Amino acid sequence: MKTISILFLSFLIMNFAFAQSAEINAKAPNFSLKDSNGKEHSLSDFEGKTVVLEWINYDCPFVKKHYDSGNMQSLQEKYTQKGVIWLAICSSAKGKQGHFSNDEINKRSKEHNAKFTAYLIDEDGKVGKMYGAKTTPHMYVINSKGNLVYAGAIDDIKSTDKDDIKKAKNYVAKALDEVLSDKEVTTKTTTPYGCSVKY
Amino acid sequence: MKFILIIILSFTKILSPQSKAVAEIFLFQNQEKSQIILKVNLEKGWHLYWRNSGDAGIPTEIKWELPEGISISNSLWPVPKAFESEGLVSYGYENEAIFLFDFITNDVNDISKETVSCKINSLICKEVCIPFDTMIVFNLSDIKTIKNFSEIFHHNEINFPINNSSIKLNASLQSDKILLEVIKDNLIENFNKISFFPYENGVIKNAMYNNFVIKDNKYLIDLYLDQFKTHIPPKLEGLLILTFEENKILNKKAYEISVDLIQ
Repeated sequence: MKTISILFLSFLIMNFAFAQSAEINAKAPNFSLKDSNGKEHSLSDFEGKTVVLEWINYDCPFVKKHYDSGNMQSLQEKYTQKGVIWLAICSSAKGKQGHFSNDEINKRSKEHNAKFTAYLIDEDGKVGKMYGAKTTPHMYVINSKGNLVYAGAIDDIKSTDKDDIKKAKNYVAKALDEVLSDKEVTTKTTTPYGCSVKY
Repeated sequence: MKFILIIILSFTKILSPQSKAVAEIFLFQNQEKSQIILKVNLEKGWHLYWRNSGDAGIPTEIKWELPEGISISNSLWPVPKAFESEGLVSYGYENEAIFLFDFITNDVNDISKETVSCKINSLICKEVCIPFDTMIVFNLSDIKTIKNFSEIFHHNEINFPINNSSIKLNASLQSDKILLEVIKDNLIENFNKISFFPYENGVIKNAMYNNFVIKDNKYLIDLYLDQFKTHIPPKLEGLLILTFEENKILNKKAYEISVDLIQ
């Protein structure tokens, strides 16, 4: 009887966890995912740290814009050096664009000289849906208190043209600069642009 | 007296690098008006996006470079289709798209040899997406003239929204939604479904169809706010689309609406 109660309680907790959806200025929902090397990471592992979530699909032209130009890697390098945890998350389902084997992910990440903390695999899309991820890229910033403080686009020019990057206002950099200076994030939400997440 | 010219897409055919889409320009003329038409032919199953792309993609942008003495007075976007995948909804045109432009000039003969350029920035998608960025440069005198849309459009007719309709409505902000109240008068009856496609993205949750109930002589339509709404606009603007069945075929009638949002 006790075992059944514990199992039932665990079932309720699991359902509650996955029923949660991300909200601005609220606690970012926890999740656990394996990275491209098979190591499991939970958001709760990074308690006290600023965390960036970046939805990724290496074959999407909008993701290519930011990786082929080196823009995304520059952001990753700049902010991880300041102690930020940067998690790239791929929610492409098996057989869909952007879903790759671990070897292929690691090969592509190396070719791009990616500087994220980890590339996480969310092939059942549960974490993507919990965070309302619509596009690749779709960017989120979580502050050191664990609250979601930014959700939206990487920048304000909706295009696949690399030349637009230097003209664009980068929302993620601005949010991170504000968070790291203990300031309130001024632009909390923007409309993301990119390929649809291939759930 | 000003000559009003409406332009529809394309005499010069421009192929995208991947040849999934071809853009063309035509001149449409009948006894009432002249127009320019921009037409985009897409490979089967591919689509490009509406002025609001919805949950994915980017809005299609059409920019004109015009000689002195000519200006665009209006652009007409046909009623788009909603595409749904795993809960994400985007808006666009499948297989082919046609856009109309009203041009104003004092004398069309004066500018017929002038060069006009039309730049399209968009994205075309099927299971994957490809940028569709194209520029068409042409002289008005070189544009192929058509007298009937059926010469270039494969559907029976182009479905443009009804502007300045006499429908009466109210919109009010509630906790997690906008309640759109539409008076039944002047609306078609016997429709099956209602949709609202907003002009602005990031405020209302994009949906194929919206829930509604009938109360007294009103339709009460729920427009749920986006999970990460960017702001609350002072006005609600977009297309109210009624889907109905006629001769076993689903048709759509769309009304362009703009209403103050009571907050």
